[in-house]
Amino acid sequence: MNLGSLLIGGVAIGCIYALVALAINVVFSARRIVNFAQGDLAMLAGLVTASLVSAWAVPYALGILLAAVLAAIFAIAVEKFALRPLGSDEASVSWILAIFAVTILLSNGMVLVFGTEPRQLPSLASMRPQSVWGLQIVPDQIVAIAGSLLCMYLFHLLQTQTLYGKALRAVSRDPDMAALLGIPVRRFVITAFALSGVMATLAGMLIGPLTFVSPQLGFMLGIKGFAAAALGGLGSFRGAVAGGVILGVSETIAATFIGSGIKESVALLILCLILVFRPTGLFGEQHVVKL
Amino acid sequence: MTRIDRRQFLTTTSALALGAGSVHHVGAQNRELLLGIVNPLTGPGADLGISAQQAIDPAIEEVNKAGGVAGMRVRAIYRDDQSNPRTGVQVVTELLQRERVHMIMGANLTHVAFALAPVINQAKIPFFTMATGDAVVDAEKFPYTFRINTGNSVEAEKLVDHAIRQHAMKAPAFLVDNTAYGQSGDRALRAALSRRGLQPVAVETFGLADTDTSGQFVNLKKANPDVLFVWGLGGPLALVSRSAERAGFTAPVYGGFGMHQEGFIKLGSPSGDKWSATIWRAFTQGATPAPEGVRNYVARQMKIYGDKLSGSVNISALWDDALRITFEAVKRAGNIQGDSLKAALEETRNFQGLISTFSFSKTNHDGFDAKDITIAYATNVDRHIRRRIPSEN
Repeated sequence: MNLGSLLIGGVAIGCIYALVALAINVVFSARRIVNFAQGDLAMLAGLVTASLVSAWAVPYALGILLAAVLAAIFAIAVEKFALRPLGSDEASVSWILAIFAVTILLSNGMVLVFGTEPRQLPSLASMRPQSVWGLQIVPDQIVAIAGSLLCMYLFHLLQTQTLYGKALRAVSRDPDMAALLGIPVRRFVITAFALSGVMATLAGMLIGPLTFVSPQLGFMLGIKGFAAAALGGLGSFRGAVAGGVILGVSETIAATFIGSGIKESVALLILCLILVFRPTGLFGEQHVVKL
Repeated sequence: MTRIDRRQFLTTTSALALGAGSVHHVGAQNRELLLGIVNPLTGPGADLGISAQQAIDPAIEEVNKAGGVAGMRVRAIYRDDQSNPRTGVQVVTELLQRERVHMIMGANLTHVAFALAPVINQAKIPFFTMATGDAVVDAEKFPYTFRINTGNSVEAEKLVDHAIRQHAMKAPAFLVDNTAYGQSGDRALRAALSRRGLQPVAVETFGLADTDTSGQFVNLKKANPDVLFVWGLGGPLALVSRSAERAGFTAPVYGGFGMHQEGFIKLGSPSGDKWSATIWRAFTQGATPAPEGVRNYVARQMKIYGDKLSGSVNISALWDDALRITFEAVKRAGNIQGDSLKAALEETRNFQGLISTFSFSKTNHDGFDAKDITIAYATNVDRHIRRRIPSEN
């Protein structure tokens, strides 16, 4: 295995972080909050799919579909029952507590329902490395990269080429003005949460064959997804992609060339440095507030 | 007639009430032997906790049906340490202060056991641990801590010896997890190698939440070791085995007991089938069939739990031994005071358990007999443990 092969692995895991970051951005655009529970939704979808496929012999595609529906319902429930009652005061930080309560509930709930055993999702292509141009490439890593990029591209099209996407951006910029223009803000917020649940499902499906799915996975994915989103700039589509890939690749490079014990620190150090020199992240927008 | 004023009346009645309360409290405690069970029921060591519970419940039910221990009913109070030292300390404090247990058992994970030992020893009640980290047990430093499992240094000796005999090992490498368990394995392996004039050609680490360890295998392959020692818990080791397969790493691999956890057995890569680990000899076939006691125990557990029986039934057997040693000690002590129980445990000599013959003394709180461990293919032992007891390799 050479550096090129390692980089492909880093990009694959980075693309999955990017997908979680994108899901975080979708919610951030709609409600100006960071949904740390996004990783737990990915974990929920992964565990549900693994159980449906292995215990109930449900076809894989149907399992993914059902898990996506469930994750979307959970995401909507988070908005309706955990966040909406707190109001829309952007200065309030009570949403942070609410989100963390949701993550704890979700991970503990999954332990109760599915137990603590890690599970593996079936391979989407193959886990056996193939030698291509001197590189050892695992087909599932290529599927993870392609799947993430496709999902991100579709979201990009949705956001830029459809009326829905434009309305969502309007809601994100100024919900009051959007409401005055006749945009049903509440419905758009709910749709954004549902969409984030579906994206989390895809992240869970893509990471599942590469690693294992367990109730502990959610927290890790949530933190990495948030780090990627913050690195790229909260709310930025390009930022999510760049942040995820930088995080994944830097982890891999750090583990190989500096030391495996320090790889998490290196990734977070990069995040800190970027936030110090560019607080809005790599592609974040600066907002001017008139007082 | 002597008149009692109001102050005297209140003082006397209060004293009587307090006295009655104390008597009631002591009485309530003496009717039951309370065992605080601290185990990982969530987190990477969860299958260990579940295996423990599957041993404890039937054993306690059996002993209570037979009239209890020294006239006392036995009750287990379970707490989940979440494979996390901080949570472990919280739940142990609760067990000591609120539940007033007479003994703490468990802390299967070394990093959790390290955190619990000072707290429990300060409370002066016996602590029966299954953690394998060497420094967890020290009769001078932690006089109330006893171990029923083997320590890492014993495992390391066996593994290094086996690797030299089987593979003429000259250039070993390590890949250990970054918890106290991995570090303890690292130290024990270095010491065992050093006694033979060897040292590792490469040392890599991995975290419990790592998603890939390919980078570590790139470095390991560069060092070109003839044997790799891995030290970690089952689930993360399964991921390590997958990275090894992806990296095309083919050197023989050895590990400690962590490799026998269900996570590795179920999720390890196909090449992990040839990874060897320490295991209790009673759970391998060897030259003679597995002891009848072990076969009967596995059959009994299968009957009770059926499909829900933990894959790590050998851990259940370890717990069964721990409980029976405890019950014998309580009978010898005749009471449940911490110091009496400690002294009675130290008097345990040649206790014939399912997995070993245990002996403790005032200076030795490591009860396991080193002769009773061997080396076997990890997956071979555990995958088929319910159907057959496999051979040593």
